[in-house]
Amino acid sequence: MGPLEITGTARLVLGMATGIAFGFILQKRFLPTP
Amino acid sequence: MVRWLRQREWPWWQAGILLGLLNMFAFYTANYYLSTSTTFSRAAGMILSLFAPEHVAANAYYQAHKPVVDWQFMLVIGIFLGALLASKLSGQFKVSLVPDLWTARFGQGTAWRWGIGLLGGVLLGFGARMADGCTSGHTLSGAAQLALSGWVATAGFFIGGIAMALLVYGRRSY
Repeated sequence: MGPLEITGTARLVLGMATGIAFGFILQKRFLPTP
Repeated sequence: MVRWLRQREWPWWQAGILLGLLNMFAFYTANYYLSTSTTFSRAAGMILSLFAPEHVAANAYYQAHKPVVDWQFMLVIGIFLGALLASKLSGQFKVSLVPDLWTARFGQGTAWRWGIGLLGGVLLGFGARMADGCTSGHTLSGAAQLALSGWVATAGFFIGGIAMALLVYGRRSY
């Protein structure tokens, strides 16, 4: 089964949701504040 | 679960597995990969459009990479929000003009820190366009697809990063 390739506003919302998860993981591992 | 989300730091293997799964999610739902640097070019194009729209319209790069809000643009906004959420949840959030590590090495002078930060940003932006990708696109996503370009770029990131860290901070721990 290939990618869903969601389009329109849903794609933008999905982009932000993916980014929130991405930023969360980066902060937990790669950008720890001393 | 809540305790895990509130942890200050996750083990490397947990973060690595989650990043891999997130990349798979991005490929499956958006048919795109985790990457960020093109958004900065698009944002520059948007700002430039306010002053010289004809220049942006005629520019070959912006004809190929339209200065519009797309999936990756939203991803970059989300990164800021996600990192903010993580730091709030773990109680690490604080506003600081100069990072602690920099202060320990060079003191609290903001002009020097911001000047070097700007220079670093310019070099990063230039390098990311020259290489058609940054650490996210080449290392997280390109290397994950076993792309030769991703591995070559990753080697370059490490060589450049280690050399610069030694140059700026030396061998001493801060």
